[in-house]
Amino acid sequence: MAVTDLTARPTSASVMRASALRRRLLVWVPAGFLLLLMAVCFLGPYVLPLPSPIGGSVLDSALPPGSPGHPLGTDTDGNDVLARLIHGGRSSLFVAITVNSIGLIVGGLIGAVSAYAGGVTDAIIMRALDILIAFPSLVLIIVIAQGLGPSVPTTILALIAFSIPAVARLARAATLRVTSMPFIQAAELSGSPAWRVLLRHIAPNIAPQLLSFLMLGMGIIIVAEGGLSFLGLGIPVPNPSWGNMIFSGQQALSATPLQVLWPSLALLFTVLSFNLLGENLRDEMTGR
Amino acid sequence: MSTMTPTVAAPDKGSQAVLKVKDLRVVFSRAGAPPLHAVNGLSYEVRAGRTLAIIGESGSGKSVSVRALMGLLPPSANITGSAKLFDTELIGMNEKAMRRIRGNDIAMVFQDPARSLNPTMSVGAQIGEAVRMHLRIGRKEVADRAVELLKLVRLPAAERRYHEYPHQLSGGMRQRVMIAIALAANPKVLIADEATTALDVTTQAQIMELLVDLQDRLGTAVVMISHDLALAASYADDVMVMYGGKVVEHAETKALFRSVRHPYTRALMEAIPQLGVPSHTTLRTISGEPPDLSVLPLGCAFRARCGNASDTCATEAPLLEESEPGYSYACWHPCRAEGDTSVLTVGASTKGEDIL
Amino acid sequence: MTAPTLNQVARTGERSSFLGRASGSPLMRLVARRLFVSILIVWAISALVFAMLAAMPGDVARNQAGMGASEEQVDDLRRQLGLDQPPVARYFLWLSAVFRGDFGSSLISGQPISTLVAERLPVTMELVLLAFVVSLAIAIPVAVLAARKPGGIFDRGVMVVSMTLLAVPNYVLALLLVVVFAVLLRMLPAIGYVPLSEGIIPNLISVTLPVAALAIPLAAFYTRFLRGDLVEVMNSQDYVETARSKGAGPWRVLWQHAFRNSSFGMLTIVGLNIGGLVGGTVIIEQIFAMPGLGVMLLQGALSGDSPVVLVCVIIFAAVAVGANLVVDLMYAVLDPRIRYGSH
Repeated sequence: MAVTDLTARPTSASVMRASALRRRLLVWVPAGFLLLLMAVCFLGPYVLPLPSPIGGSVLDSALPPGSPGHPLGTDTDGNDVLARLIHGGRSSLFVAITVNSIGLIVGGLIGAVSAYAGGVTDAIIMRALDILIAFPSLVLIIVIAQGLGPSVPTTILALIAFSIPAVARLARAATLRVTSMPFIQAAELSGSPAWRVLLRHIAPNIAPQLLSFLMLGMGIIIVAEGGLSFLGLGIPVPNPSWGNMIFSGQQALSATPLQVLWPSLALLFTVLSFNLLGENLRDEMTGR
Repeated sequence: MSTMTPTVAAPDKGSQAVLKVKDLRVVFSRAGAPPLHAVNGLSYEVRAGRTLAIIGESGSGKSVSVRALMGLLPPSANITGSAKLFDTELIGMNEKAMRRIRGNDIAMVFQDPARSLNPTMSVGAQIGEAVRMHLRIGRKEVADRAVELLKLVRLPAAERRYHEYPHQLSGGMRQRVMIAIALAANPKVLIADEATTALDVTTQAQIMELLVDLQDRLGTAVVMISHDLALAASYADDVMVMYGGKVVEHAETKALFRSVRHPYTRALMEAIPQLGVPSHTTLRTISGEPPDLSVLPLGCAFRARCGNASDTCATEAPLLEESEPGYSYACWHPCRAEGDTSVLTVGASTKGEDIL
Repeated sequence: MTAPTLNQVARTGERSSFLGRASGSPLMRLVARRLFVSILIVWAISALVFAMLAAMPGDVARNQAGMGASEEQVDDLRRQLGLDQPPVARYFLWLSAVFRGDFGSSLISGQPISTLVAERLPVTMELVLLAFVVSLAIAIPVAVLAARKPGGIFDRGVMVVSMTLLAVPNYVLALLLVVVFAVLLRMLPAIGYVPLSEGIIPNLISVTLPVAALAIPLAAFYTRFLRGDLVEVMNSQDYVETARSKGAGPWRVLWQHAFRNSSFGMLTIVGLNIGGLVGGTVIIEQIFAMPGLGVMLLQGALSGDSPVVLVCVIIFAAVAVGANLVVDLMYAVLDPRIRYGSH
């Protein structure tokens, strides 16, 4: 009669410690994976003894994994799959990092200024963003990418057009929450100029939320870039990207079935890691 | 668990205690933190038609203690002790049996009526739900009963209000609806958890008068939880003051106000503005902070904020003892009955900024 | 923000200032206003896309005329296509034609675009609607079951699976589905679309894989969102405690109280999602060779068929804007805080 059945549920102290540990693992494992991935993709081409990712010989085509000099084999064009995977990862990560950095800065600024300024400025900016958001994003990207011709800068440009409105909207909502707080009014009343209030008071307060969104945004942009390249509108062949590797792997599904697997797995684990980091960051902040 | 009957039969009314709580303790286990001792040995009785006020500041364990009775605490709460509704033990009762008690034998009115009503359901549907949970009657009868309840809590235009949604009602009207929900199945015990705190003073008085009136008519035992000693003075038969999860003083209301003994209760009383006192007199406040509930205090929990504290208070916790029949307090150095002002000499605020 | 969305109105309570001078039913006025803004947005998009297409490099007339065409032939064609006019004039010519119901013709096939759209829009709409129905049919029960015991075995399993599925791009998922169900198991066709006119069962079989590829990530997303919202409502909302104190059981509390409230947030998310989902059909239609609007857009973009691209983009945008409008109006019908004015 001493203990209710409520306490019989698995919420004892040991279980709670275990869940705290699990939480920490959910941050460190993806973070470690991503750091390793970035090191391999950005430094690997200079440090590792990799063959060239392009211009392979037809004589070497479709070698199985484990062939001498080609740990993951070669594709139907005779290029080393591992080398293409690493170079492809480099382009994917480069595009995603560039797009998200620019998107965060420009979008964050637009959103924060819009919310802080309010009135007509806010109305005009938000109307413009509404139009951009109403665009089905991939459709917009296709139009831009096709119009300018497939290349890395085009891909980046197209994806930025998709990233900025999303970040701006989030930053605006976050700023509105912050500006209603008394310490902002206090700062304004004490005579701080608008730029100072924005930089010293608003920016630090919306940064954590934007940061966690940035992590999710990395995953979204990597997937979108892959989609563009898959459609032949992103990183132009023969240069590798995970997206166009999946496309060529699909074309060669019967000859080299594993060829589609490697870039897919790379994409899966990378996006998963970014999503896990983003979610955990958000949970930490909201204290859930 | 002695019985599983949906409604606990009420033996002869008046003399016998409806609710008997004995040595109730609640400890919350927490992730990455020491356990929280929210309620540390609570005992009391409530009789039919009587009102017990449990007074204390936030974190004193008053709300947790009543939620423990109703099984409304999260699984991380470890509840021990005994709480009997007539002869039915509530502590340790399984969830299914407890559901038949909740809203049926014990009902609760919460603090904030704006948040305690579901914004997406009509007033009638929410009262009807409470009725249907415990009475096996048809749709039409449920609706009739809901309107009848709305009339009972004196909501004007009850038939129209039945179809309205919470956001269409004022704060006082919403709290009347909450009371109607609580009374749906004629409970033996009604717990009012800060039921008037979120309301303005006029509405507060109306709601309290309504509760008192309904209690007279229905013979319900009321447990009223509040931080407001003045409110308890006007409406409660008995007052129990809690501090740090323990009872520090428990007496009949009149007796308590006649001869308060515990320094904490006394400090609470002095924090009440009085009409007789000249204006601009600094209101007494209690400085310091509520105790840390993660460590079970060795001595008296109030000693750090108490003007009467001595070395004994730091080493030995005073027990709740009856000084005369029906009057008990837990203090080594109680105030004298006539009014010992030494209570606040050390801890007293001279700035008058610390507000309890 | 353009006219505040209804849920914002509901939450901030600025309803009176915004509808105060309303004549007639406030709801009808709100509908009219939102409809007007939606049309404005679609119009702005048409102008924007027209400008973008006009600014794109490349000479349509020269490409059309072919390699061996003379300068005169190219100029003739240019005049014939109206491309000798300045872009602004061309836009208004195009717009007035649209108001007469003439969407122009494809530069490549010469077919009227309205005919092409009439053939292809139903395919895309079928994919999108089925994907929505399937994803919600999976997400709602799964999320409610998971929220029943947060941290329990089922909940943890759901969280892990949905997290993984969310990280799978739909084009990878599509390939995986093809490999498993078409190549290995030979249960379903890998590509191709059977119109509804040839029977409902063959039609459904032909769209099963593309719908699955669209619906599975969406279901994972909705499940996570709804489960999170339900858990939060269950933990933080006082009316949940009220319901429990009435003696309501856990399922009743979940469905009647928590889900009812979470469904409004869910509705918003669904509305915002539609634009993305419609865009996502481009890749899926391409992989499964569905004769839909997405493929039409993609082929149009790849071949420089700008009239086709323009109309496709406008339709996609109109669907997204329209869906948001419908969601907002559903709010008004479902949420009593909006359906009835405040006190």
